Amino acid sequence: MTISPRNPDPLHETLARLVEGALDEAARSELARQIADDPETQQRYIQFMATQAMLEREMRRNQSVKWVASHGLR
Amino acid sequence: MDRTTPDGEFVQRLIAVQDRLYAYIFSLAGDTNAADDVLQQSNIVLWEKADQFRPGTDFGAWACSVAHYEVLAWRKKRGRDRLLFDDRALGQLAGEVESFSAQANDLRLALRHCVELMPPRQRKLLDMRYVPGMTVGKIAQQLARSAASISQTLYRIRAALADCVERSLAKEGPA
Repeated sequence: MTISPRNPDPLHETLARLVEGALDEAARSELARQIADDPETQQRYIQFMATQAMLEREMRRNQSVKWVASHGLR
Repeated sequence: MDRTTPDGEFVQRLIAVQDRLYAYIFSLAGDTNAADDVLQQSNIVLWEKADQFRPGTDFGAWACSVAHYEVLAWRKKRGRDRLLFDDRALGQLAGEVESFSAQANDLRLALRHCVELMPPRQRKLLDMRYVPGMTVGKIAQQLARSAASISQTLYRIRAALADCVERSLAKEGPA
């Protein structure tokens, strides 16, 4: 399996904008409507957000490990 | 009412459920900044209500039900106009989010695998994004690129990771 940022899934790209706080009000409303009306979009939203939440936690853990490594533990 | 200090087992359970709780809150709030505050508040309430947990029942489900009320409290403070979901949609979503959050461990493993597959340049950019205080503007400055181009790359990295995790979980099937 490879991972490439080229040609991402459009729903995932919209959700990525939401996570980065870059979705305007009209787009947010449209997204919320789709999530409420379409069970598949709802499932994909849930999985995407859970993935981003996990990414946030993992990356913060990594940053903490790097900080400890760079400052040393006496 | 006599309240006892939570025991070591409770603390272990609370620690173990943090990723799941964060995912639950993050999905319902749809807001990165809110998730930390709501998680912190949920942990306080869970600690205070430790004696209400019944051993032998699902700790994660109990913790999510407590966090649900904290999400509602946050929504009340936040004001309707800035919320992603209305009350009806949130109610619909909560149960689905709670059951999916139980897969937090599978999701973490899939995510780690997908992060390892990322090209080094993208991995570096993602790392930079999570350095405390590192804004998109600062990254752009360091890499001599425009902020818009950094943002676009970050959207695509997040989307690509989600694509990879989705494929990975679909391949494994339900646990």
